[in-house]
Amino acid sequence: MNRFEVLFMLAYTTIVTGIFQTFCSGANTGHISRRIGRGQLEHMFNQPVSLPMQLATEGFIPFSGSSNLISGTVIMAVALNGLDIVLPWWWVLSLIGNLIVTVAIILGNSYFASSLAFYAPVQAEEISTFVIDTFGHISTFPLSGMPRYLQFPLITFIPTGLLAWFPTLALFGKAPFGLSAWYPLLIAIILWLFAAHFFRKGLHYYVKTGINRYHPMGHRR
Amino acid sequence: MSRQASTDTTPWVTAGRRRKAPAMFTPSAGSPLNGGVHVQCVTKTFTQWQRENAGKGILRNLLKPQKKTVHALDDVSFTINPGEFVAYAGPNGAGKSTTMKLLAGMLQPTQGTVSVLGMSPDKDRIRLMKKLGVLFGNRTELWWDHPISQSFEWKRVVWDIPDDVYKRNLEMVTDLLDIGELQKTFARELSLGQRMRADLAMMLLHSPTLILLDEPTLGLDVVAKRQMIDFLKKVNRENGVTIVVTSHDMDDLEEMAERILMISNGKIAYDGSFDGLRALSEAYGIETQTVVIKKAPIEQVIAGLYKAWK
Repeated sequence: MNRFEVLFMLAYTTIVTGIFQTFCSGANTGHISRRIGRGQLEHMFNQPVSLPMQLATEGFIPFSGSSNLISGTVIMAVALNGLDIVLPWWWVLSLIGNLIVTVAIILGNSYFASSLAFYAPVQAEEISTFVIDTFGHISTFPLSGMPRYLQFPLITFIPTGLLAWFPTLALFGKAPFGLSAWYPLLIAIILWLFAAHFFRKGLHYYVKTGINRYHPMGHRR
Repeated sequence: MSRQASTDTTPWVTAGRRRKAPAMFTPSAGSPLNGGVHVQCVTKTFTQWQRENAGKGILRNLLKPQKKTVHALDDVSFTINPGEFVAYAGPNGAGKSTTMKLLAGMLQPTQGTVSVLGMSPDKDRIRLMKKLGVLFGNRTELWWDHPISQSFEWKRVVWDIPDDVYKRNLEMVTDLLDIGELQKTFARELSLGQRMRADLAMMLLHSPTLILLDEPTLGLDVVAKRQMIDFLKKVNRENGVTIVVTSHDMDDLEEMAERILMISNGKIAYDGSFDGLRALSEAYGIETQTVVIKKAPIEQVIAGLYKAWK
């Protein structure tokens, strides 16, 4: 990767953080283990709307959450300018698609790990923060200079490489390991299937046992 | 017992002034008032982890953690008819909040069936929530960092309340609960009493047929409590809304409700009128500070009964 590709990758990860903050940060919808661990899901049972719909619409904070989105977009413009390449119009759609898939992978990870909070609310209350932050920090490293035996697990078992490195290369037609540019989408779907399964299981456990540690902090704040 | 929803403009009195009431609150259009609440043979058990802090106990915590099974509700059955105002009383840990959560669909029973307004809180949650109002005294449904009016608007959209119903109910709660001045204020800046009034107002905006109130007077001063009690009585008597309320303040309960369900150790210990409770107290030979048992403060009667049952 040349320096402008690395800059593009950093811009990509900044935009991903910005999208997550703008659409999933409000009321801890992205950090769902907090709401589970604090016994706040009960508020959601009172509403005549399905839980997925509530979660999809409560997290939007356009003003306080969009700073990374704006700065990331500016950095990406600088990087693209430095790359000095001509991109077709559909490339922008491909970029948007990749960004959405990356955010879906982050959310899938968060909800998958957060399912633990149904069973261990105290210990796992902050597990989504831990997972998102850890994945986020590692994702900012360009993996191109690393040996393949390290690259491979980081795009499969611990898919941090899919949060910025892989999409960057794929967007410039250099997807590693001869994989298709659609590969992150496949991982996102698998992750969401797992997350949905374990989250639903946890929810059934929750309504049977309850969580006797209600804390108002973070509910609609 | 069934009451017809009133839509007249009967003069009513507030703060010593005689004024004309706004168009009155009416239960959801088309919603059946014949549903009520049916709880049949409900058992709810919880598991509590036991921990030791010394010696071998610490090792045992890791290797073989001890569990204790608590029967929050034990084969509980009762029916609440439409239009009733029922007090649900009991000492701390008796199972009051558990029952409320079961009725509101927040918990599922270990055994038995729960039917609220003819629906299962578990299977028909979304449909039921359109007709149910739930308020827990120790938590708020208001958006903390927004003005109260914003929370009300949110409620209108999420509950899909028709404009005319919303306007009528908003006018009614604004007037009866005296929250006109509060609507532009952020929820975080309200006192507890003001917040409870705003919460109560928001709960009623969608014209619930049944209201579940868990400790609604918790922490309220005398004036705020008075305001809330008067309001609830009015909503029940004039609009036929079924209300189930829990409280530790027995005098408040007696003033509000006609029927009391007493729970003790997860079982229904008494179901009837407050006068019947006094008669029962007499039968148990419980003495109160008041000479005439029929006029005894209900608080003393209940405390005596629990002592006798133990």
